[in-house]
Amino acid sequence: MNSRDQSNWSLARAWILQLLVLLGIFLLLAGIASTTLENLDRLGVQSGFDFLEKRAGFDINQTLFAYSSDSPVYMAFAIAIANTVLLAVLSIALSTLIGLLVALCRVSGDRFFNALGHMFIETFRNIPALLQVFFWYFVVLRSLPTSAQSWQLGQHVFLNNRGLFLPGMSWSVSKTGLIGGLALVSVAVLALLLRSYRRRHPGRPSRPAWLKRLAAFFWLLAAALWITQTTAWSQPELQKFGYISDWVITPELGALILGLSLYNASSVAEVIRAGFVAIPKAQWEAARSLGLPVAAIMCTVVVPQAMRIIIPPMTTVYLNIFKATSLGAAVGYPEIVSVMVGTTNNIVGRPVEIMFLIFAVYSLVSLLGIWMMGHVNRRYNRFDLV
Amino acid sequence: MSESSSHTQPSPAASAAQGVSALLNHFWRPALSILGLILIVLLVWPLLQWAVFDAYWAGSDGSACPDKAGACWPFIAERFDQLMYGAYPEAQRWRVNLGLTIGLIMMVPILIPRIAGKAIWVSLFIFVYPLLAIALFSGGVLGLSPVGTSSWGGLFLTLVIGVFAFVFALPSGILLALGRESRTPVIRILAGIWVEIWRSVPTLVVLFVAVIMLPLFLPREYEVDKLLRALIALSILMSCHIAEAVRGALRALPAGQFDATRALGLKRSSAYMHVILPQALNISTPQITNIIIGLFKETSLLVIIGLFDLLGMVQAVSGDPEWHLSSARATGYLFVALIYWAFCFGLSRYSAFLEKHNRTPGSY
Repeated sequence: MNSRDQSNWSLARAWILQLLVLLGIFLLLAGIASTTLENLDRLGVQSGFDFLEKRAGFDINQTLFAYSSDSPVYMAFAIAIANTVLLAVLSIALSTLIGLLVALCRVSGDRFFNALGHMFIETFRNIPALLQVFFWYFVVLRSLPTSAQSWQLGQHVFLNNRGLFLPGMSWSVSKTGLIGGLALVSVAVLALLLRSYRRRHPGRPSRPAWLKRLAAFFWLLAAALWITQTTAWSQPELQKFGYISDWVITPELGALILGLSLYNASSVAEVIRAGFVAIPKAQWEAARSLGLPVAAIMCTVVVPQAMRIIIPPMTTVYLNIFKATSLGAAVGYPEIVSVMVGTTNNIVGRPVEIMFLIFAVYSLVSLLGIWMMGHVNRRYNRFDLV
Repeated sequence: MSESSSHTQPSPAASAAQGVSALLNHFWRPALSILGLILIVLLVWPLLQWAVFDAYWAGSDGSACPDKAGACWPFIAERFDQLMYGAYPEAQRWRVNLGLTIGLIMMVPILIPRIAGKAIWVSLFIFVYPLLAIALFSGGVLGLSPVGTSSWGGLFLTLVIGVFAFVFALPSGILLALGRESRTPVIRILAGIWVEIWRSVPTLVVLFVAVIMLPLFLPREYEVDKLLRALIALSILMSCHIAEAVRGALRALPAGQFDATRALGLKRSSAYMHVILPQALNISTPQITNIIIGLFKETSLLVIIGLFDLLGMVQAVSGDPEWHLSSARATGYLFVALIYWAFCFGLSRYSAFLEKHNRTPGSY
């Protein structure tokens, strides 16, 4: 057998192997599908996605947009997704803030701060997130005063064991308000377009810097005016059964934000620290020898380079926080898993379809996160000439 | 801040640490230090006061400590056995102790890097220990009385799930990693889809899939125990994480290693067995240790699907009317937090030690 025959044979073998694997997987899936159908039939479970259109029949205690028990199931699903996103965004913001502070402590070069940061990281990352959420929910937030003895923070913010009651904000845009808003947006868009045009055609005389700053100042003033004119604030009101407000952070949401943020802040801190430590000493030395002040070294030399190292692992951390929002199911926060698996499945009994939807949502978010990471990373790698 | 720090002399050896510390000049540094110290005192002192100075130590029932007061340690003392073993019959607990001790002893040669023959020890642990442990824990053989998994609980359940999930996940994770690096497109794509799908959903969803869907997938004659379902879920998830760790290590190996096996005329399979995999596993051990830490923490989710793991046991016993005190519950949380913390911190130190050990040349 010469070498050509041999390579032909190994090629053929590879093809046969692949076909066999495919056949095996197909048979396995077909077997699972047929048993599942048989089991569903035996249990009298119907199939199909028609349940999404039906009346939900249950209430949700945190709704970011209009929903009642008469709404269809897909609205309940939408509410659950919105609640998940709200929790994820708040937790990501808070954990990034805490993580940044801890990372700065770690790279400060000061022994005391380094120890402080180290202590924080080792404490919070070695205790399960769910235990931390339980601690905040069952111990700390339960021991807050009752409605009648609420703590008042400032003038219009109230804290008690029913939650944190914030002044509600609502937009009411009149016709003139709409025109004003459109004008503001179009001025901003025009300015940005002009800027990018000038960047692409250097050499033309530029406007003086003070004029630009003045224009930006007036634009911000107008925008602030627009916001204050179009928003209406509503204060929390004390009613028979406690405070009522448009914006409430329920104990469930509060406990989850605190638990998830503190737990994940340690990962955020480690990622940021790794990014800073990876910047070679020579970069600092070069920037210093150019006479740049420290703040400028940070903003123009260190941070842009560190970002390239930070972004990929940070995406993983953020996606983990998004996935960890499912812990809401343990304290009754209406996020995707608790609404879909905990409530909807018990009522309509369509486990296969519901699991499919849940997998679809989480996989989509993962893909979106990875795509966004690629996008941002490309931005920071733009100047990479190596 | 930037104005004043711009006057500082450029130091000959500026590093990231010194760069940031330059931001904290002579005024800010002591001010912030004092602030940090105050913060620590404000946080740690009340905790210490609650857990030690104001705590209640004596007593044997719920009347021993008032509600909303210092830590209630009699609660832990009274319920210690439940927190450790769940509802495992008292007369049979020696089996749990024996089984776990054997496991611990078998782990020693795996954990110490200097001891040779890792492959033998690991395969003993993966293929022999589970059989022994199952025989001891659930009984029904060798004259041991059967103990149903519904009475397993507490730290015992957490450890059993953790160890068994790892035992199932390690071989399948390695196979998945090899599958993802396979030259055969079909296997590569299928392994990739499998790993990425499970990794993109939360652990809780994987657990629900096992609890709700697994009985639907199997013919009705097969009744799968809830504990086994949870175990399958965590094994699948963990094997996907391990696959990623091993794949990363396979990618990290210098290309020269592959070339050298070709030059020696080794077959692809024996090249993997004797050259590539041993090195890849060595490189990925610290990361696999981190995955084990993650898994150990994730076992706390079992309480949501109604199993009484360590955290689930605290939830259960503090729901007991006799101990329906917020102080008892808080003490329970503190106690299990310390257990989780000790395990995870110990393992993370071990992982750091391994990483350092691997970096020193000639360690393998």
